[in-house]
Amino acid sequence: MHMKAFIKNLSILFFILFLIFFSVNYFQSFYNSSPEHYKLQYEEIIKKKEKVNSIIIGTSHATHSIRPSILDEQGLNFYNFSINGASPGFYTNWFNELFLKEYPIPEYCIFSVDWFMFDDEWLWRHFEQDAEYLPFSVYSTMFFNSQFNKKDLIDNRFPFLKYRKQLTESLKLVRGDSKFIMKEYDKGFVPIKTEDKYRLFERTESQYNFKIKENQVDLFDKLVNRLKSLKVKMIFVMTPEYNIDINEYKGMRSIEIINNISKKNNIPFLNYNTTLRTDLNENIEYFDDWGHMNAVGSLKFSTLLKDEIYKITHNEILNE
Amino acid sequence: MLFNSISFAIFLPIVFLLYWFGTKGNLRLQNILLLGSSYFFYACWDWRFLFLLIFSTFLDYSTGIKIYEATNKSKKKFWLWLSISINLGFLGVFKYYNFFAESFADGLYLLGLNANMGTLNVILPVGISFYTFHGLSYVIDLYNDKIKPERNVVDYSVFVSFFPLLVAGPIERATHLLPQIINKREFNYLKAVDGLRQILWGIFKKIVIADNCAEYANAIFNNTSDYTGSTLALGALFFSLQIYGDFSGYSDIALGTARLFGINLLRNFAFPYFSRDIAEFWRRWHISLSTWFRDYLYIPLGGSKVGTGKKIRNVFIIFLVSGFWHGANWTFIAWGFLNALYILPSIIFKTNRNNLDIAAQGKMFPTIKEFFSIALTFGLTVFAWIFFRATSLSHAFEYISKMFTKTLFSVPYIIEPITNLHILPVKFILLLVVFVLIEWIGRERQFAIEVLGFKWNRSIRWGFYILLIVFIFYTGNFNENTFIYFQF
Repeated sequence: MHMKAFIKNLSILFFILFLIFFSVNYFQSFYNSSPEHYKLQYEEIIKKKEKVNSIIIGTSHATHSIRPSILDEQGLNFYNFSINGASPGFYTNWFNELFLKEYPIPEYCIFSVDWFMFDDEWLWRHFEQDAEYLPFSVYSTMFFNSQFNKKDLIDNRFPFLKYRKQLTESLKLVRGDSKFIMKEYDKGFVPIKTEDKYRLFERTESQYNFKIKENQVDLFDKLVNRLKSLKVKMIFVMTPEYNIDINEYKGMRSIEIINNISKKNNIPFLNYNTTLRTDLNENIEYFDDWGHMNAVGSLKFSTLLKDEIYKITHNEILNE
Repeated sequence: MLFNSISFAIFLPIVFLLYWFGTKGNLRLQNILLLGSSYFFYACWDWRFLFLLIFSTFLDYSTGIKIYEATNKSKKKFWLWLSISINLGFLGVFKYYNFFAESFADGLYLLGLNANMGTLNVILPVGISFYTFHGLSYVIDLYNDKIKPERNVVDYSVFVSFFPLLVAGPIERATHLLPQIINKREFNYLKAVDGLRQILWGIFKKIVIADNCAEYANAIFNNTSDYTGSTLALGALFFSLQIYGDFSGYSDIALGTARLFGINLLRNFAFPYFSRDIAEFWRRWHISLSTWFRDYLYIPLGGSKVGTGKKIRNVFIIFLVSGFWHGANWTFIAWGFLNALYILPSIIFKTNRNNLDIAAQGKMFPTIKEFFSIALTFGLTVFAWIFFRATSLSHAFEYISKMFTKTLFSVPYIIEPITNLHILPVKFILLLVVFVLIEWIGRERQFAIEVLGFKWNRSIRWGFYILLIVFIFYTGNFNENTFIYFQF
């Protein structure tokens, strides 16, 4: 009798808790401060709404700099899948676990590269962090794959867990990150709304002391080879950065590594901070901070890039 | 498997249901299940060390029988010392070898000699200090004819390995736990509900108090040179609450879990930060270890029934050994030494048993004298914890010397890692104040919320529990941080 009462009461308690958390989960799936373009980028892979034959991958530098609809003017159809904090390690998982299973193999891939791309402490994003956006089949496969962190997969799957620390923001009915201008969303690209308090045109000390992790170099090399084996034509692009001395880039080992991989695989490398440097790099009006272009800058840059892409796709191979 | 992990949240209900429903109340099956699940629980850390645990169990089990069956004192003594030597031998190799090797080499270096003793690349088996002491108390009690040996190997193994106490205590006594294991256990509704309440409070203390305090304490202790005296004092305070929330939270979860299986474990904490002197603090902090040292070391050495000189010696032995038990580092020895200094006057002047009752018993507020006694004792304890938390003696001294400067009276701040902003976690400090108040209100109970809400309407009481769970969920730190005492 006592045991029955114990189990019954415990079940009621858990049911009430389930109802509470279920409601919060539902509510926070709409009201959370996660940038809305993440969801849209993943939705494109799953629902394939756009007509796409070429993709863009890379970090937030590419998300906010490369406008697919401008690039499309030269004949290809691009979608920008670059995402904040994504390292080669992230893209290896993204490509193998999701993209390859759900999306057609593209003809071209613009791989946006950065001098800090081999530092996976700086590029903090893990594929598990995007578990919320993944289809169940992909999620469940990952869950039973020891390579992935199960706790992270669970924590990031359910909005009430993922946005646990943002409940007060959610209660204010906050949706998305106001830093991004969603009405100008363009196939994965989204411009940044410049807010003075976030503007940082000098790099911090830790940003100067970036690391080169050999495993990330290796993963980058392997990913390039994998794309190559799938007959995807690649173009490396380094987006413009504000006012960094050209000589600084020349001494960077990471640039040297990217150059070597580019030469080894005969991949064009469009470096807009060295060989393709323009007055864009010196004009603060085009930047949100030293590494991210603003809406105006992205328009200018995408137009420049479009012309270079046109040359390449019409067999005018440009390489450093 | 941590108590604050998802795997334990799955493991516990399964074992609970199998225990009460799968065994149909059969004691043999229940004990076999408890043993199997305890070994599984332990193997989740590192299955290789399970063999060490089983060996240690069999050693004490068989030497226990030999001690009991020995026909004369010398044979008894032989079996006792065999058990003690092997048990402490394992502890020495796994826990202390590197410390002694390095200290010896350092000592020779000071004398101008170079010696490389070599260090062992060994992992400390989790819980070794606890189950070793557990087994030792059994054989010593047998030697002293306080108990009879347990001949059922499963029952004895459950006594040593019962999963709620296996990795960080409480250090049980055969006289207390074995009778509960060998006798039939009935499900008791009130006991089980009480157990759940204690688990809930333990989780709150661990996840909300300890793990959040740890974030700040670590930030301050790991960057001592960046902070002012007031922030360093705040860091010591955070660590004091962290270690209390962590260990007493662990103990609450252990005791509550055991209650779900109809077993009462020894109480390990009794609101130590409300102690009015250091002697009282040590009667309330990690009670099962303090009483172990009292019964198996202090009293055999003569305790306080000897001359002043020997009394002082005994106090220092107890506290230095206690410090060393916590870890192979001079910081723990310094912490023990400091506590010996604290308690010494009360031992010499026989005032150590002045405060045997509870502070302000039966009253809401303490007297002014009580308040200042509690504050002074707490202050001394916080100061001693600096040695416990510091990474080395030089770090501890640096911390203290930086703390006692003019900046001790400035406004404290903590540097946020990403933004480098100077912040003071006011909301969290207010939460700590509320926590201390709840602990104060519940200080006459086994744990703070033991009877909280008993007189309330049932729906309000349930509302309180649900609110507490939701509060833990939203304010807790769910990084599955390990418990501090697991390293001991």
